[in-house]
Amino acid sequence: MLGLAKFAATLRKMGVRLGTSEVLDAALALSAVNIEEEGQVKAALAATLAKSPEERALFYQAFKAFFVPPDKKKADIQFLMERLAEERENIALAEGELLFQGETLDLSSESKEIYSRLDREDKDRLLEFLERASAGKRVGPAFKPLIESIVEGHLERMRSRISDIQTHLPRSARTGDPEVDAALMQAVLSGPSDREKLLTEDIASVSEADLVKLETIAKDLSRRLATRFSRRCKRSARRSAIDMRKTIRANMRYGGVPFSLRYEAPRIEKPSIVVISDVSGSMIRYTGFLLQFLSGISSVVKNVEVFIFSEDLERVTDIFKEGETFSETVALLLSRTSQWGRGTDLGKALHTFRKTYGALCTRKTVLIVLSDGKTMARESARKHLEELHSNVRLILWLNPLKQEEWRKVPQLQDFRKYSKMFQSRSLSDLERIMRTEVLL
Amino acid sequence: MNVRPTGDVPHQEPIPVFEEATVDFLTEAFERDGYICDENIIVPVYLALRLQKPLLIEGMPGVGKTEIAKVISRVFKVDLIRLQCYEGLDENKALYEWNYQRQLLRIEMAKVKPEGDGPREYACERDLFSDLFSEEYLLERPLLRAIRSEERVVLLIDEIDRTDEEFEAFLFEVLSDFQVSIPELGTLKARFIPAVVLTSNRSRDLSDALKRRCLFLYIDYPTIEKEYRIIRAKVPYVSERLASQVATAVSRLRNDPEVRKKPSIAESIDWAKALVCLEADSLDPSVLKHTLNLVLKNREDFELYKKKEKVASLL
Ligand SMILES: Nc1ncnc2c1ncn2[C@@H]1O[C@H](COP(=O)(O)OP(=O)(O)OP(=O)(O)O)[C@@H](O)[C@H]1O
Ligand SMILES: [Mg+2]
Repeated sequence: MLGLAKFAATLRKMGVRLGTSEVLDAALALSAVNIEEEGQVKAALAATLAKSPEERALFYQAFKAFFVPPDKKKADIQFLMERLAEERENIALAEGELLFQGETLDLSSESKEIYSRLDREDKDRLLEFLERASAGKRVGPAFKPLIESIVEGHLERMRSRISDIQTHLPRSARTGDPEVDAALMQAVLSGPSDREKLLTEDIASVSEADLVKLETIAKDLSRRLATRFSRRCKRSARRSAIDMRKTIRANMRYGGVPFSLRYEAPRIEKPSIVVISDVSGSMIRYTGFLLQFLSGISSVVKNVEVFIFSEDLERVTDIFKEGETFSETVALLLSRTSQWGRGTDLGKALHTFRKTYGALCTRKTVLIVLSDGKTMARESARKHLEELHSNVRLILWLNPLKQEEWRKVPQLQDFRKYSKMFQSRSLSDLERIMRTEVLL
Repeated sequence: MNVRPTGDVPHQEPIPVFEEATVDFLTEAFERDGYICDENIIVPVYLALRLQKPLLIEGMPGVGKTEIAKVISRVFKVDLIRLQCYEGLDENKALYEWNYQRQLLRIEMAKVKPEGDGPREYACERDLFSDLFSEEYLLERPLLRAIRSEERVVLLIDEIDRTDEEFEAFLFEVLSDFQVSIPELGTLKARFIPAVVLTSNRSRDLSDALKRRCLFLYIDYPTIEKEYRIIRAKVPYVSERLASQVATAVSRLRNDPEVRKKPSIAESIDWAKALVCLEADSLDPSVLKHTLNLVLKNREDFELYKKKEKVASLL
């Protein structure tokens, strides 16, 4: 009963106290029930392995995470492996950066992990401290342990600043067995946070009480995306050194003397983003979350410009700063929306935009339009989109309407000619679009 | 299959012995007995019987813990031996005791016996001793009764959380091998391992050792649907409508954080019975006002539900 042993290991790691006798009982119990029936298996295991209401709650969580169809199990293990790889990269990154007089600091893995998840500013502050400490006149190598303990303590205090560290499996909770650890990871993720549910829920219908949770998830997702992207940028920067093989081949006729150099594929570039977002009615929530999300990835975009519109356009880039909470953002948006409750006029908004801010558009710009497309002056809107379309890298249209309902809004067909339109109702929609369209 | 003669209705399904009962048999038998439950309850009961392990049932007051032991005894048509626990319960009250009064009386009687010479007297004293500590003077308490029973029995150890750790440790010994040694009588071993049900309201945590011996069953407050079915099963003549209204109202009371003493299933049954007697076929504010004291036994809770909007929230 290998499965049972692993399930028991999962439970133990989750805090259920199990002795050998319980596991033996569970094996006996399993042999006495009809194992084709999930209900019986579950009840039999619960009766033998979970002996208090608290343990029972953990048991059900573990059961759900562990006993899944083979395909799901494979995917879960894959997911775990990716997280672990990400973590190893994080640690390597920290080791490369946290130096004292040129030598890597000897820190715990957790500390390195925390470091890699800090904001750029916090990182820089720490690096600055290390630089100063390294350069100190009377500071010799003997000071390294002291520096290490200072840094360790500092990072420990920073732990609370990092929201997504919990979504990783703490080291102490790991067993090293992929199947068990994958289940533990799923149990953590599917925990009381209802993360999965919130991720796919329509942003406009998320309850007031869950908004804060949603915000945390948005931060987590966007930061993760940003980290991923910045790594890829770095790798591409390294690669964009001279490609020797190509260079030699290209210079054969010069006897191999490299007159004309050949470079690897061009570096990945940080995009510039211009947002034109609808704030009429329910659109304001979607806009609020788009801004939250963008602030999370702002470290890996060159530039973000934000405009809101309902009847006309207004530039609100100034309110778009990091650290603002969702409700603060929404409050600011509301206060800045002068034309409240009148019609939505995308045509006019785009006209103003081109006239006044047209210079913001370059071939490197991703123009993000967030709107359900229900607007007056459709023809003018279409025309402006057509013009803009040839000035920017891409017009990305985020549509909170369900894709099945697009048919009912005929002008969307026109708008789609000049933009890539995606259904964008939930955080997971938003994340996917950003990952596949913006931070390539 | 090992089958005991049931004695009564000859064409009935034969009743299996504990460890040969199947999940299907138990499901049907519990239902026939009017105990409403699903496999979350049936499977642990089945396993306890099958693996001959004690079943420890925990849950809030009145969710049907004790009832399970009773149902088992009815289903298998065996005796129920009940050890009701309380603070200060000790071995003497749980296992056995010598009947001191009778022993004293016997000694008194021996004294008035005509005197003999030395050696005979000695032999007589020894006789007296073994006589004093014979079964005649033994007071059997529930645990010993369960062990010495010639028949299979259900042993209910009710509200074990009320005893102390010391007693629990003693109990653990007994439940480990169902044998006790009484110095004067020697070792007694159970002929049949009884079906043991322990209940606890969780007023304190039980020891790990005891829990390890047992299979565990936690019973939650019922869902509205389950309570509806219980009421329909337990209250004759109750209308579907009334049963569902009572089940709903009781569930709302339990979910009201302001209510201190949550109504038990027994109380909702009583309430429904009273409503049937009053010939109410549905709940309304005035009926509620006059009968709510049956489910809200705590004074403050009752006062709380004098408010109109509180009453309205139950309908
Ligand atoms: N599932 C059920 N089906 C039918 N009747 C039930 C059910 N659960 C409870 N009851 C009824 O509720 C009454 C109370 O149950 P019981 O005495 O077993 O509760 P308990 O959990 O032992 O409570 P306490 O903790 O107060 O001892 C029983 O008399 C029984 O009629
Ligand atoms: Mg009871």
